[in-house]
Amino acid sequence: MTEQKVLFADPLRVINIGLELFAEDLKAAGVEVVHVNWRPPSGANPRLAALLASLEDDE
Amino acid sequence: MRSWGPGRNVCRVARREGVTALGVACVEPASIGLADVGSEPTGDKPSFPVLLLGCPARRALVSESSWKILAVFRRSVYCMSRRGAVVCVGHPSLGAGPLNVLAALPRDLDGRNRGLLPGAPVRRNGTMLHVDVRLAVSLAKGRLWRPTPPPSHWDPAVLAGNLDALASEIRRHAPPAGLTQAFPNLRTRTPSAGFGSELTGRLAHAAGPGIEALRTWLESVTSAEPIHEAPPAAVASLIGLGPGLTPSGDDVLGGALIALRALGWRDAADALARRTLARARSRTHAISYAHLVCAAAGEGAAALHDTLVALCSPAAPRLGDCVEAVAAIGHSSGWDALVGLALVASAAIATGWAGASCRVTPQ
Amino acid sequence: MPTKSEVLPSFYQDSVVLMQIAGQIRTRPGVRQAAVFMGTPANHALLGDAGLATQESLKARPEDLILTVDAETDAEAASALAAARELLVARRQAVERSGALRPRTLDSALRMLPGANLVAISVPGPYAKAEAMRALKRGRHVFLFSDNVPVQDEVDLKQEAWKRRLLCMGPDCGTAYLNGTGIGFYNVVPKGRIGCVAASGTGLQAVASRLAALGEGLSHGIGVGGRDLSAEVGGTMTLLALEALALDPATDAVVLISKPPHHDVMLRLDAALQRIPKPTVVCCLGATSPGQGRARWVGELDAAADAVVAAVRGQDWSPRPFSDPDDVRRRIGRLRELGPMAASGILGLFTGGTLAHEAHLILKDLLKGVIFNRRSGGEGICHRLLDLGADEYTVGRPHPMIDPQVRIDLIREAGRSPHVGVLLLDLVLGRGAHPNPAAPLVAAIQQARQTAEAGGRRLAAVASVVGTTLDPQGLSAQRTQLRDGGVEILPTNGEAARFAALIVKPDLGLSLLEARR
Repeated sequence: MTEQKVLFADPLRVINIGLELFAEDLKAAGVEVVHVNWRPPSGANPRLAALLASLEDDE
Repeated sequence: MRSWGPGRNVCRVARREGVTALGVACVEPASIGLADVGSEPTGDKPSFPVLLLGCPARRALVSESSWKILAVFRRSVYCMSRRGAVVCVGHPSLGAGPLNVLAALPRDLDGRNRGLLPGAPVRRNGTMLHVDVRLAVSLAKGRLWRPTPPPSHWDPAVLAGNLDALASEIRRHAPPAGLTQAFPNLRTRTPSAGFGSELTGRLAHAAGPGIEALRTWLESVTSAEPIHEAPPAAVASLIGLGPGLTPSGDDVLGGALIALRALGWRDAADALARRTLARARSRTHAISYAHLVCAAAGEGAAALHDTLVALCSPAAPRLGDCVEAVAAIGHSSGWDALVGLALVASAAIATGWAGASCRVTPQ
Repeated sequence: MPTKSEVLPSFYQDSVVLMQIAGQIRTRPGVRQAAVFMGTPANHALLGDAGLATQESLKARPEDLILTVDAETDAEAASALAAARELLVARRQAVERSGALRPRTLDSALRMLPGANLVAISVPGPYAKAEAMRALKRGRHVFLFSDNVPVQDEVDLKQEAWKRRLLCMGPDCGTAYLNGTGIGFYNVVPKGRIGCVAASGTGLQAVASRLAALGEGLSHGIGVGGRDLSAEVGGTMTLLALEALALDPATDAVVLISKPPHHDVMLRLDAALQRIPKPTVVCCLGATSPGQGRARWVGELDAAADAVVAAVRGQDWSPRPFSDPDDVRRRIGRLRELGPMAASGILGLFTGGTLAHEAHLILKDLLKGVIFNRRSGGEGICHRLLDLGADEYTVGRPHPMIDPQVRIDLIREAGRSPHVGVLLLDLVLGRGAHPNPAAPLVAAIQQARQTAEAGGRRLAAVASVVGTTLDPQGLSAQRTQLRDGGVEILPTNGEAARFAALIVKPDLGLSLLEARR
C-alpha cells in the first residue's frame, strides 16, 4: 500500500467554490477561507466546460 | 480642477464622445494579424470591443500573449508583457496614442467592483485580451491609429506666429506645477499660489541647465549650418525629473523628440533618442520609459500631433482645441510635452530653417 | 524641521490624483512643504535640495511613490503623512477587499491562499467534476457538496483521488469534520478521539451530536457521499478514509456509518475493517453483520456512538430500547390518561433522510402497515414515514432543514386527517440549519391539534433533536420550546420511533419496556 498522507495535522485552510454560506460559516469558525465567485464557464454549457477542463489539465 | 472660459465646450463635447475628430483622420482598417482561434467564449463576462489602437501597441500584443496588470487608473489599465512591453487599455476619452488600446469600456476601471489590481494576469487568447478574470477586450475589429503628419512644407513665419499663440495659451492656462515655469518665454504671468511655488521654483532651477542645453543643441541642429554634435550630457539631467506619473522632464524630452521627427529632423531625432533612452531605463519608471520609446520613434498622443499640424498651418486652425486636448493629458504632462514641442519650434524659428533633415556626425 | 517620508512600492497613480493629494496635504496644520513624487534619481536630488529627502525616501526606486512632508512638529508631519497614505491607499484597499477577495477561479484563489489544503465545492452537479478534478490535480482534498453528479463522474473523481491519496468527500456530501473543524451542515462538537467515516451527512450529525452528549469528540468525520458503497464506485473513499483513520495518531476508535453496501463492496469493506487495529463500530442501516470480525455491528446511529464510547472507555455496552424505561412508562401512562390513542396512525415527517430510514427499519419490525416515502396508498390504519429531503419535495425549494414550510403544511394537513394520531418528527440543528426550527414546528403542531380536537380527535407529537449545546440554535432552548409546546422529546431518533409505536400499540410495552435484549 502506498504511503498514506497524514490526515490533516495542519489547520484547515479552505477555498470555497459555490455556496457562500459555507465560506461564511468557516470564517465564523475562525478558518482561513477564500471564496470563489463561481460562474458557469463556457456559456453555461456543462459538456463544453468539462471538455475544456480536461484539455486544460493536459497542459 | 482647471477652469476654462466660455467657448471651449465644442472640444469638450468632442472629447466626451470618445475619439476626437482631430485624431480620426489617420485611422485605417487594421488586420490585427492574429490567428483567430475561433470566437472564444467569455462565459457571462462582457467583452468590450477595441475601437482604436496604436501600432506599437498592436505589435506588442501580437508578439506576446502573457501579460500582467502594471497600473490601474480610472479610465485605463496599463499592462506589461513578460518582455517588458507596455500597453494602455482604456476609455476612448484618453485619446489615441501609440500605446493606447481604446475600447468602449466603462469609466471606472479602478472601481471596487471591477476588482482589477496590479500584478493580476492578463492573457491574449486569439483576438481576445483577458484582463484578469473579469474584463475581456476584443481586438478583432480594432482599427490602427497613426499620427497625422504635419504638412511637408511649412513656413517658419507661419510657425512663429502660431508659436506666439501657443505661448499665450500656455501662459493663460498652464498649472504652476511642471516645467512650463522653466521655459523662459512661457513663464506664467500670474504668480503661483501656495507652498507649491518653492518646490516648483527648485524644479525650474534643477531643470534649467537641461533645458538650456537642449535649447542650445536644438538651435545648432536646426540651423542652416548645423553643428554636428550629439546632445550634451546635461540634457539627460531632465530624465525622471519632476512631479506627476510621468516626470515633467520626460514629457519635455518626449515632446521634443516627437516634434523633431515630425518636422523632418530625422538624424537629430535619432541623436536625441540615443542620448535619452540610454539613460532612461534606469532613471525613470516603466510607464514613462515606454512613452519615451514611442516618442523616440516619433509617436505620441494624438493631441500632440494635432497641435503640431495646427502650428504648421496658416491661421493655426483649432489650435485652442488642440491645446485643450493636450492639456487633458495627466496634470502637467501635456503642458510639459508642449514645452518640448515649443522648444523645437522656437529653435527652428530662431535659426530660420524650413524643413528638411540635417546630418549629425555619429558619435 | 521634522521631515517624514513614506515610500509606496510599485505605486502608479494618476497625476491629477497625485497633485490633488499633494495639495490637500499642504493645507494640513503645521505643514510647510510636501511632495508626492516618483522615486527617480532626478527627483531624489530635487527633494534633497528642497530639504525633503529622508533615509526612508532614498529607498524609493523609480516605480515607487514618495510621500514626503516637512512640518512644524513630528506629530504634524506624521499625521499629514498618514492622511496622504490613507487617501492613496484607501481606494486600492477597497478594491482588494471586495475585488481580490472574490477570485473567480480556483487558480486565482490558490494565488491568494497557496497553503489551502481543502477545496469545498457546491456548484451544480454537471459542473462538479471539472471543478473537483482541478482541485485534486492541484493536490488538494475536496469536499463535494454538489448532488446530481453523474455516477461515472464520481467514479473518475474518486479514482483520481485514490491515486493521489487525497480525500474526495462526495458528491452529495453535506457534512464533514477535519481536524476538529466542521464543514457544510454540521453540529458543533468538540475535537476528540473518535474518527468517523460516513456515507450519510445526517447520520454523521447524529453520531457526532451523540458523542458530544456523552462527553467525547471527533478527531475527523469524513463524509464519502451517499453512493460511495455502490457497485460502480466500489467504496473507494470509504476504504481510503478507513485506512487514514487507522493510521491517524489522533484517532483512538473508528465508526463507520452508511446504508448497506453492495455485496461485492461488502467483502472489500470487511477486509478493510479487519485491518484497523483500533476499536471499530459499524452501523450500516439495514445490513446485518457479516459474521465474526473485529468490528462491532450495531443497528442504530446513536447506538454506534454509545458502543464506540464504551469501547474507548473499556466499558461494556449493549443496546436497549430505551435509556430510561421508567420515564417512558410514566409519560405513556400520562398520555393514556388523556384518552385512548390506540388504533391510529403514525405520520413521520423527517428532514433527515437517514433518520427517516432508521425510523422505518425500527417501525416495520414493530408494526404492520408501515409505508415509506409514499404520499398515498395503504389501506386502513397505516403508518407513513416521509423523507422531506427527497427530490419530490425539494425541487425548486430549499432543503427542509433550512425551510420548514413543506413540513408545516403537511402537519396542518395531518390535523385534518382522521387517520393520523401521532406525529413523529426530527429536528436537526447546527450550522447551515434554520436558526430556530422549533418555533415554526411548535406553532404548526398547535394549529394541527386545535383542528384535530375540533374534530374530536387527539394528536400526539413525538420528536428527537440532533444537536449539541454549542450549536447556534442552542440545544436546551430548542428542547424547551418543544416541551412547552406539548411535544414528547426522546433522546434519540430510535427511541422516538419506539415511543411513537408504544402510543399506537400499547402491548409493545411488554417487549420494549420490560425485557432486555
